Amino acid sequence: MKIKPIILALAVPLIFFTGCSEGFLEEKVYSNITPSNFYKTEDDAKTALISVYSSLRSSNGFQRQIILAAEYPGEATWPNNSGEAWRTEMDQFKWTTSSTGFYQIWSQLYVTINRANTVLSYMENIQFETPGLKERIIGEARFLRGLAYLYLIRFFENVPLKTEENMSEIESSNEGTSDAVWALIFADFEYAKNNLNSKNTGADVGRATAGAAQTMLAKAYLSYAGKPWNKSEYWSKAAEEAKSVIDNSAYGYDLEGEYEKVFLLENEHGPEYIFSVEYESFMGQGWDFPTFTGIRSGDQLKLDGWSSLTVETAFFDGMDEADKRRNKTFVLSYQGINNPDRTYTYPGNISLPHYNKYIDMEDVGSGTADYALNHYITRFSDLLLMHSEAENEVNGPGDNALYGINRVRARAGLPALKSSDFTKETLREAIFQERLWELCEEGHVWFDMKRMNLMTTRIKKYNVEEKHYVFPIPQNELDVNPSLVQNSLYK
Amino acid sequence: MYVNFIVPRRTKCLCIQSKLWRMMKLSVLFVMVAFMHVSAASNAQQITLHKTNAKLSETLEDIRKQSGYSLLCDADLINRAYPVTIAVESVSLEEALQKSLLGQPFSYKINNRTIVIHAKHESPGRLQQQPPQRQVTGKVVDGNNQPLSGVSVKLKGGQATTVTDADGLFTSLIPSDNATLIFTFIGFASQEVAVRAGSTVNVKMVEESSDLDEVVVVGYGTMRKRDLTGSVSSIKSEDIKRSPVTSFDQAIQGKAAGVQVTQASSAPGGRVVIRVRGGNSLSSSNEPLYVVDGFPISAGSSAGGNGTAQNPLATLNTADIASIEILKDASATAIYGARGANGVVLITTKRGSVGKPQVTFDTYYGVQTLIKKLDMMNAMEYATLVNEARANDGQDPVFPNPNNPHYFPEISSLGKGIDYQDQVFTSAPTQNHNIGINGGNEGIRYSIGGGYFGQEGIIKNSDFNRASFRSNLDIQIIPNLTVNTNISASHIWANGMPSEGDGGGGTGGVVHGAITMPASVPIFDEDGSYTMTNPTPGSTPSNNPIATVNHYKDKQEIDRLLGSVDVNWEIRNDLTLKVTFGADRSTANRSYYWPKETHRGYTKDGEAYQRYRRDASYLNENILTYNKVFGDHSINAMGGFTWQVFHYKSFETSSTGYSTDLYLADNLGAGTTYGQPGSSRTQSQLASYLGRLNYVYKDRYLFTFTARSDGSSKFGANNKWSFFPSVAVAWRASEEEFMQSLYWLSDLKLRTSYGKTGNQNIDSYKSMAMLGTMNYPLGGALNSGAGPNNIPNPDLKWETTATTDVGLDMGLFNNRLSLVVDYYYKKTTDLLWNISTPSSTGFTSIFKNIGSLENKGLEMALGADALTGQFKWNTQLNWSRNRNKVLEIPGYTPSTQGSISGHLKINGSWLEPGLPVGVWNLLKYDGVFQNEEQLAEGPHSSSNDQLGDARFVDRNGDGTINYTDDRMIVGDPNPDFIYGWTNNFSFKGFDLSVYIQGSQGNDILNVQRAETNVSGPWGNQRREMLDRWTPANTTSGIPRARVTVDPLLLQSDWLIEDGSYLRFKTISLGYTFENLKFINSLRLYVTGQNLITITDYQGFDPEVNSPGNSNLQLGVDYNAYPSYKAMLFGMNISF
Repeated sequence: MKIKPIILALAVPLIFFTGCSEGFLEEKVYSNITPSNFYKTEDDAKTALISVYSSLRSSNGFQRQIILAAEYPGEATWPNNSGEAWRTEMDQFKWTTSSTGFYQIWSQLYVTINRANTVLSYMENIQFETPGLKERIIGEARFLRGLAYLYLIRFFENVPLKTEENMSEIESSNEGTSDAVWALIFADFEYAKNNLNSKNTGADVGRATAGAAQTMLAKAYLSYAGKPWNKSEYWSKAAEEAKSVIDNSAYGYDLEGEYEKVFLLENEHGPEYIFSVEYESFMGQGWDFPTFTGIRSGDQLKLDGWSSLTVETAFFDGMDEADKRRNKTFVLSYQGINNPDRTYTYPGNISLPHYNKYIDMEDVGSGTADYALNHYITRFSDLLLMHSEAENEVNGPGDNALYGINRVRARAGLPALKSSDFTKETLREAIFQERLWELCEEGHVWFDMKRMNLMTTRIKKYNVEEKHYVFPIPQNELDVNPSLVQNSLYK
Repeated sequence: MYVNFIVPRRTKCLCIQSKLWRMMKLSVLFVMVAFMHVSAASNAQQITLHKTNAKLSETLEDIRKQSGYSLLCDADLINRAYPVTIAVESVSLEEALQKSLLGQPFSYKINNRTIVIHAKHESPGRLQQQPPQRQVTGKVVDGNNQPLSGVSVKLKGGQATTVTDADGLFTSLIPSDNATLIFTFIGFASQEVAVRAGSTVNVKMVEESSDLDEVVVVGYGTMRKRDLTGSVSSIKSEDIKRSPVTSFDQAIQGKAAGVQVTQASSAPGGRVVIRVRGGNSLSSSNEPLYVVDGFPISAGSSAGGNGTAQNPLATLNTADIASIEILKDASATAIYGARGANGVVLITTKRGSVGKPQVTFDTYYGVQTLIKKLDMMNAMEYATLVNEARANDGQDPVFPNPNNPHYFPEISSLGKGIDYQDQVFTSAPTQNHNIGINGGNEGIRYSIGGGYFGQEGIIKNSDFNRASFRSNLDIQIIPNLTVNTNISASHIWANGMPSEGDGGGGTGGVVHGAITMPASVPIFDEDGSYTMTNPTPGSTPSNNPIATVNHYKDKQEIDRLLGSVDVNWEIRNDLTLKVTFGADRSTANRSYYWPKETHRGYTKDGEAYQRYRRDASYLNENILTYNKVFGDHSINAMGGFTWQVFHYKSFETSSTGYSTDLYLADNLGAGTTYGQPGSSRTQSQLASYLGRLNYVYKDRYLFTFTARSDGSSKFGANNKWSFFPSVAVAWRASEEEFMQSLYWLSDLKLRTSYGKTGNQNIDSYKSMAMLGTMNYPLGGALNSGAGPNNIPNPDLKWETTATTDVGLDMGLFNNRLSLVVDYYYKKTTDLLWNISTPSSTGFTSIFKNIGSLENKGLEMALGADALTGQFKWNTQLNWSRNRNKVLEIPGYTPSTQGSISGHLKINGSWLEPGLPVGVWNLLKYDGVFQNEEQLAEGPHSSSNDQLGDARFVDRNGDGTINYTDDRMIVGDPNPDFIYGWTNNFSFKGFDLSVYIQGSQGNDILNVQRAETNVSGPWGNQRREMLDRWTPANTTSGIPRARVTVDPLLLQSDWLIEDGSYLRFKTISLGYTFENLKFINSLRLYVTGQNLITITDYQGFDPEVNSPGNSNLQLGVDYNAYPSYKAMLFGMNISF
């Protein structure tokens, strides 16, 4: 028996093999990073913070669905057979707990929250060299977290409160969280207000500022004071914060001279800018809203539009022809892009009224979803009107209440309102109407109707009920999280 | 000294006493025993005999003396022998014995230096005096014209039998001037040949696939088919050769029961989807493991990107393949452990055999054409529809438009317009040339081959080319040490055209364009440049397909080198060690350029893109094999360990804004705007211990035990190693005594197996917490960001499939008729699935082992040598059905999976426990509102429904149609059964093969209908839409024309069609010329591919699966590259 060679034959490769197999099955990671080799340096913290901003760009969130959720149920906008059932359901107040957009918005806002929580949870382990950087990063992360919660609680009212990084499946309850969520929102914006720069320059333009935080704090107070929380003591806090922003020269906010300049690419960080979702072309950082609102087969855009967010004819007809905003807000006339000698007009050979706000002929990206024009989360005219609203609620239609709205009207070429013509209620409605003219297509109207309790009175076309003042907890989320409770009107 | 006794088989079971008694009778035997000569002569076995009419006993005695071997024979028998006349000079022992026994009713065996002479089984107990004999001589060769030795040559109606010698030569005696000889040989079909006295005949034996002694390749070894306990389908090179295909996976189609092969894209070199006994997985790969000459290859190697996906398996030249084995049940696949669950396809390439160099040259050339054009509206019909649709929706007509008469003239002036299909599709040549050299001596055997395959696409300017080379060497270094090498290199170069999908966002495919671009749209605009998109108001932005086919450039290349070296060390005759080192490396590149003539190029001022991808895997295997027969016990054991490492790298970048189109994609720096580059690198490792024991008792009780333990880097820290056992039992009932009287039953085997296999086909790093790149622009510049991408799962592990198989193999009438039936049940547990998690965690899902599904089925293969005379007919029929069902996915809410078309809002399939994977949950179309009564009655899907609008079935009966509430399961892409039927006929030199294949009862989601069958101006419409509902045509089932097409129509079974088909895949007629000067054989043939397809399917072709390898989207036709039919002319020459 040749036992020895057999043993040798087996032993040699076996030794070789076991020699290699120590750690042989460990995963070798190359083009990715993991939490274990990250979150160590100041630069890591900066990089991690960018991921929170990045979540704003999602089409499930601020890039599309949040805007649509706030716009379609209003009286200015409709989806024009754009196909996705949710859009029509929103437009016609026929939504159900399973309507698709709710879950997308809910989950996307929690993505922002989790990314912010992740940044915040690693801050203590990182040794910062640059003075003030740690506070700035925490401030920005808290601003973005506060922003996400502000949208969440206004849409859904009862939402789980998450303040830690998630590394496993956790089923969190939404019962009785409302006060704590509001407290977190106020605290986050307050912290950001106290720790962020008044103004950013150069490479930092686009980051949250103290002014943005204070504006959003004012908005949070305003919302908390309005329906359904009705914490009326917050009207004055809202007015106070708004006034403080208007008066703060360090922020340097002012109205842009001409309305149409507000929506030009070259002017997107002009005096009116407070906080925006930033988009840029040619680096995978664009968005598709101009395509979304552009005219389908309309010879209007180099990349043809979809006519998926269009203007209600009544809304179009309702705008004063003298209003200087009319030309920028709506498509009135243009030359064909493929047939430059052809003129298209509405009314005329364009069959439906369309929005024009986000269409800037200088804004030409590399494709459908590559437009660069930023989307304002809030801008100075929003703040002026917020101030008017809060003042009106606190002190009625006095000069303070009319200050903001009249500045906005003046730019639009409209006559100033006189306090003698208004009661608190009629001014509230006038402010609502002014917000609609000024801020339509920007994602505000549903929140305005909710806060001002105007949904059931303003919307006549469809059957609006009390439950439409809040969105349902998404069915998909209820299905996987037994600790969640549906909002009572949807049970 | 050895003394061996030959004991008749039937006495084996006698008791010792009777055995002894039998031995006593040995005295009756004429026993010649001699001392073994210890001499050189005995090794050389040089025998010289000169005898005339001598006694056989005398001759044999001479042989015994000269060889020094012992001799054992029955004296009675020898006394009945014919006289021997022989003259041989220094020949081998075997030759001397053969020549001495020529024409005698005896055979011999050499066993441990003992010559045993025994009666042939066919020979009767007693011989009669024969009439005077006449001689016939001849030569017997195999299909490759290699001499066949040991072929039995028998006189029909007589008893005399002889065998061929080492050169395939024989001499036979016949009683009269004319007779018929029957040639039989194991592994070959028997043949009858008419002969004349004094003539020389040449006989070519044809290999028989149904023979039980056939050796089949199994995992890490080979086995006689008779000893198999598992379910294995085997396809030989002859079968592959008969149907010319691009890649071997296509050759499997319809040839193996239980194996569903779908041509996902008919683009040249397009992807093929293979499912062995149904899909086991929802999220991992469902493709089988491919093993080429023992090397498990990873299929991925095309550079990918959007557009036509190339079939990476096409890198292998089918001409190199000797056989394909498909391992189906756990007994066969468990040896591949964590990679075996989807079945295993073993590819064995051709190896050299001892003999003179044999050169073969195979070539064909053919032309392919589109099987059918779709019947689309002409310009006038379309324009009429558009105006009608606009009128119905209260809009002004667009034809004519005085402002734009170029595109919108008077309808009457339009005529037929442009046939875009004619402009895009073309007839296309295909060709294949292969040369092979095969031969060797005892020291080295070689098989070398090279080939070129070229196929142009039936879409203009698309093609696929492959040049390949293979060298297989077997080198005997010392008697017990051999080295085998398997090296193949291939280069693929191809031009693609975008076909699948409609590309959304203006990057439309050419199939989409060819169908949807209305005939009313001129190819060029008024200035003579291409019309970019469909200008009709309310249309889908179809791109001009003519600009694309004429100007778009999409080059794809793959270089692949697959090589391995096996060292085989025969440690003892029963123990062999095989050590293998191998490498599989491929580099792929794709580069495309959209010039300004195309719509996409126009919007971006030219767009160039490049992607490189490199895959490499390295393998080491160490396998010890032990083979031993002890009396009734036969053992075949194998064990070893292997490891394999996989590397992957890719890089891609793009640029736009070109001042000129001249650079194409070759100078990315020449653009003015650069796209974001991307790159990635991954690695994974697999380590395994494996073993198998085959035990056969009395040639009839068969047992197989297999086990493999796999360690994979891809799985969670808590679950790195997995264990996969299997056990199988088989009973060859036909070997039993009591079955012997059933003379018609040649073989009967019952077998059953149970085992577990795994699926580790997931991406690397799935168990780990990973950070994703999440960038954001600040200050106008890109800032790089990183954030959490997933919830980690350290428990992540393989999916496990437990398979039970019960099978029956039967051979009747000397195996002329064979039947294989298998029933199987497969249950896959620990299914990997992205299960929804509360999204308040920041993640909507976590990748977990959760859920289970089952596949069960029945498969049958029937083979028959229906006719075996001069006119031969061999037929092989296989039929299989599989039933797939998702069993459970805890925590999962049934939902539609993915999206087929974003802009058409067509969702993917519906996944729900209790249902098969791939079903569609949609509204049920119910015709149109024909009259006011129906309209009043409802149910309505829209408040402004009018006469002629679509109706749907109101499932919940609430009086209104709502997509979410009223949808139901309206289609299932899984076939009721699939089948393949191969018929080979031959008559003299002619051969005819007819190969039919089909699928029954599967539905197709024809997404094309969403654009061409909607009675709207979206794109050109099928002519059947002329029969749409109008106030004058109220009996129509087709909705009236509308500009705003009802979106629910596209979410209903309006899109679903029956995809059953029966196809004459290949019809091939050939003629073989023999014995030409310098040429062994020459076969000329003509082959028709896809000549006849019987189907009700309305799209281009029912054999379709646009989403390619998706597990969840099956049977979707979304502007797939259409299939072709072809006529080929070819030649096989061997020198």
